[in-house]
Amino acid sequence: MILLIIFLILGLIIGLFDIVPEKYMDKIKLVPTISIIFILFLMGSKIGMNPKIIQNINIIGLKALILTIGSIAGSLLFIKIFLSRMNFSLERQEENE
Amino acid sequence: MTLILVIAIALGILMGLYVFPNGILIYLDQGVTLGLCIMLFFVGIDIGKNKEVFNRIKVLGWKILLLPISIATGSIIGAMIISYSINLPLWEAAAVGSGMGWYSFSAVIIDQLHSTQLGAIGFLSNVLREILAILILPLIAKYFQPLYAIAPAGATAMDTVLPLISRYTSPEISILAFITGVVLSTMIPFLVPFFLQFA
Repeated sequence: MILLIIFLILGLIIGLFDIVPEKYMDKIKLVPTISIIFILFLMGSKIGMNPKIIQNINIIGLKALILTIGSIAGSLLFIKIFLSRMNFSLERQEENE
Repeated sequence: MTLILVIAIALGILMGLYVFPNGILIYLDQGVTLGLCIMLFFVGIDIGKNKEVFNRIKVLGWKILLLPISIATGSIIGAMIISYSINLPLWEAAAVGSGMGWYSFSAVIIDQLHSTQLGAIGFLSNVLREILAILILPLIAKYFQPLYAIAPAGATAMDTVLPLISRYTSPEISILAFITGVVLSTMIPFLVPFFLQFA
């Protein structure tokens, strides 16, 4: 796990300090896309090899949907708290600029 | 893009079911770790390049970071509270909720650090987050303050859902959405493993 965080931070530093020439950026944007297709294929294979998941796919799907609804509702509620506590309005930001 | 990813995972499931022998399971895990390192490194470069984001944060004030922090807190607590209704352990729900729509990454990291089963829940839940965010966005933009439109999108506010946010809200909100997405995407690789420690 630490390994992944190190790679992320290394990438962030390289990005921040413009070490990579601009002309390679289009190609760089492609790498995460290609790697995630590859990773998800491997993950799919693991799911396929796991009979417990295949047999319970309906229950898993339902649990996933309920979690999503909880997450979205929670995030909306906390935006409400954020707005009420911070007295945050877009007009004020424009003044700051 | 989402379609390609779903096809990739479906193809994987079919290969796992009918083609691959069980012995290659260890190699799959090693392949995933290698892929994740490469992916995060290049995602890092891409995020780090957005220096305007950092300048914007300075202009708007650091207080603006409370926006992604609120969204993250709400997503995690919401998932934890609702987990009682589906008999899912609290910290497992927190880990899934902290994926905030970045389904590819959170699913794989949950699979690696916890179990393939929870990884599958993480994948579906975060795919659904993106889909539901797209579906409810027009309604939220119409009936709530525009800032609320950023919340359901989570990390996807910086890429897939951004065009919709800009269509249904204002340019100011779109900039905030992008900043929020970038900050959340930087937080997710720390948050998901953090909650899995307790699961």
